[in-house]
Amino acid sequence: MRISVNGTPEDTDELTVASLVLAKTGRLDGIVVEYNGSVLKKVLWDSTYLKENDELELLSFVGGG
Amino acid sequence: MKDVLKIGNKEFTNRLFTGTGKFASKKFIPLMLEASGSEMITVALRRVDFSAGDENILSYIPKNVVLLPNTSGARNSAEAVRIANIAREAGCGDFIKIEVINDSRYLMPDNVETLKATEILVKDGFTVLPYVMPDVSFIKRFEDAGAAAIMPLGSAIGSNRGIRTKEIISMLIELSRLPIIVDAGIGRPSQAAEAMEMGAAAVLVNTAISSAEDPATAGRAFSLAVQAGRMAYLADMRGEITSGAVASSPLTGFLGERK
Repeated sequence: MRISVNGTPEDTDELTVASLVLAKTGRLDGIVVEYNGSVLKKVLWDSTYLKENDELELLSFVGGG
Repeated sequence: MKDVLKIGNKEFTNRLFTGTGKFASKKFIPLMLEASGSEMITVALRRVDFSAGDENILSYIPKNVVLLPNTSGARNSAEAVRIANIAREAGCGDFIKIEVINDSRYLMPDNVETLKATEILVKDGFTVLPYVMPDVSFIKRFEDAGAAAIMPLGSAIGSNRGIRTKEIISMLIELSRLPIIVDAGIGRPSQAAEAMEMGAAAVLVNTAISSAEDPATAGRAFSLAVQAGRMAYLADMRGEITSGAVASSPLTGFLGERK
């Protein structure tokens, strides 16, 4: 299905937010997910099923002043 | 009586705040924190870079150091508020440094948008530290908005130009009841000491430390300079700047003088 990740449209076979995060980043820790405009708590990633036109932002903390 | 800096619900005995940006290697971060004793450190929030092997910067920061996420990347108050909420949801606590910048050449903060974001986030329970252009007319506005401190820039971010805004910062220190934390452009420990001698409550140093060959030693140097400057301020040094010399011993009773 067609979704958007970090502002870029893409096609995915992943079923859940958790599997998408793992597929894109190789990890589950240290990542914050904004799902259709709201932060999605990590405990819900496994049970949140992706649907057509979902917009996800995968964010992490980086160095900064 | 200990000289403690109270910001929000936290108390700091070390008045050097640090940042995590631009370290050649993240492994220097815990070493720097250990050497400097800094008790609060900034981090930023970005989209994950899928091509790089991104590591979680938070894993390099000991649990006893207060996290100060910044809203860098925000071009207006709405974006700053969004970033602040994401940072809090991610478990960073409720301290937030508001950084709203529209100018890509000098990275000067937008005081108007920063004030708007401050008002919104304070109402929402955040402890807000706004990064600002030093401006006396904004003091009362930030105080009324409930900011926990004011963080005026010394000079442009990463420029090492020192306390170029010295005179205005002096006015802020005199006129505001909020802690004034000089943030940005401090390039040498002597400049950090200068800010503290003026009566700043603290300083925030990132680039000067992270870009040093030995960031741990640089961090320690800055920490000592901040302590020295603070002690000088508390000692209330009153030596005037004079045009001529003022002798340290009487100019009379010299040995060998014949009348």
